[in-house]
Amino acid sequence: MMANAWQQYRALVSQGVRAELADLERLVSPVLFAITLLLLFAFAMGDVDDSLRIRVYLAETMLTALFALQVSFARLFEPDRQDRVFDLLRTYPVSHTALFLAKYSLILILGTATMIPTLVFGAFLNQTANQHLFSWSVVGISLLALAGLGALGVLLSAMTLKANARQILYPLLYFPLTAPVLLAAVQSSRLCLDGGRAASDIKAWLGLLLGFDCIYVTLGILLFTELVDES
Amino acid sequence: MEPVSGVAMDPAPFILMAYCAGALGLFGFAHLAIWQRMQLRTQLAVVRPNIKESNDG
Amino acid sequence: MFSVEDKREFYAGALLQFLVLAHWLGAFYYAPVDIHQGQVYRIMFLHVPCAITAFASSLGLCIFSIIGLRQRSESVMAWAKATAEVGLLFTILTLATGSIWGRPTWGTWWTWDARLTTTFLLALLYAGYLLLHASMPAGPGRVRVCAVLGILIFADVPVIYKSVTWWRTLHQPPSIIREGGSTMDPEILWTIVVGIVIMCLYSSWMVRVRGRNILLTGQLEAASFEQLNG
Repeated sequence: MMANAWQQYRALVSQGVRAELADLERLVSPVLFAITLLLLFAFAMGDVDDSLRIRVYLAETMLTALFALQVSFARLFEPDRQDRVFDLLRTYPVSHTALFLAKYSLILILGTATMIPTLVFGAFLNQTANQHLFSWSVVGISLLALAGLGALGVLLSAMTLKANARQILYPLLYFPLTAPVLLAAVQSSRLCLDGGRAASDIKAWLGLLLGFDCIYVTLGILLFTELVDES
Repeated sequence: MEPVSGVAMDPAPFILMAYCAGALGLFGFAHLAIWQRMQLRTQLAVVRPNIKESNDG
Repeated sequence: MFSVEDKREFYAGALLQFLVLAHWLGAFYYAPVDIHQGQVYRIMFLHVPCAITAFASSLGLCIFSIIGLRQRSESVMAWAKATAEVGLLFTILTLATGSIWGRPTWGTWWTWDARLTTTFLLALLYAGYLLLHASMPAGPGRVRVCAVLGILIFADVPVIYKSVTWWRTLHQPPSIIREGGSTMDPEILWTIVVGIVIMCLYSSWMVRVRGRNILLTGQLEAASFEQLNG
């Protein structure tokens, strides 16, 4: 008996998680890449004035997380490319929405595993005796940003699967499309960390962030079906 | 913030620059496209002399 | 050599180019001098129509993408590609004229103003679209992928427009479409509106010419292939 969409989704998510866990390098390498980037940023910035420290911390960590996530996103369909598994999945009567949501959930899991260590390590490298930069609000905002970034990541991974020079194309397309999400995340995080700001300012930026998350997830579900449809 | 006014610069070179850029972009692209059309028609006439001209999509 | 359609297109193009030049003359001789910026504000009569056309091209790209996706049609996607090329041209012109206008007005060639920055992003997206199109072999796969990207690019446009209001930076706040009506001198306003209309017509003509060129290129390749195979 054909599994329903929920059963298909669960099967695909567990397949994805097992494929990631089978090769631990896939989990660890984005985090190591993020730590390396943070160190490089620290060397490039040099000594930073205390007044600029929050901006530098947010800029470094958000950009690093974005680059590190891009490593995961670009390789999202790699296990499925082997032995033409993705072509089989597309033609098998599995719900394409379930397939998108499964990949999206996998990205959220991998993204969270990359983002939180990046924020913690970034706060660790940039803190001073007077300024402790780690904040759960910023973690929350970053995860909200991940919701939008993840939907775009899944779509673009599927789009560039058969393109030549996808290593160049993926970031060239991904970064401009994610700029609104990134900007909203940085602005709202800065307002949270600066303290003493009107709640309405933070609400405006969070509203923009949520708005784009909704737009990208909706577009992702609608357009992924068109992308993988063979007809 | 309103744009800063009263900057002591002669506006003429900037206006000229902007409109020359506009002319180059707008008319240059158009004429390149027309030139390309000429080339395509010439090549098509060689390859398929009996091609129906209404069949352009 | 040229078809009747070709000749009609060329005459239409000549007429539209004449209208563009006539508008530019009107921008210098009809519109009065601005009391704040002096003569340099006249760059606006080129900059604003180019900006509107650049954004309108993304709507055109989205429409062609939706139709191309539904019909799985390569010829419709040829029109989408032509729209992306014209959109890229107008976005570059917007940035160039904006930058030139900025130097005497704000004292700097470039500033990380919200509108300029996000227009720059739109230029990158159009360029990325064209690169993606070039990097994939022709076929239903390319139709699907480029159509999806065209729709995604259009989804990015609202934030470009809204960014001026939300970020409140160096760029002019909206002067034409705002609550309580425009604050502009009517002669200036009408010159801009006429400019926008003419530029949109001109860009449509450019899309038509480029689109037919792309389709003809496809025909030429098919005909050459036929000839090669005897």
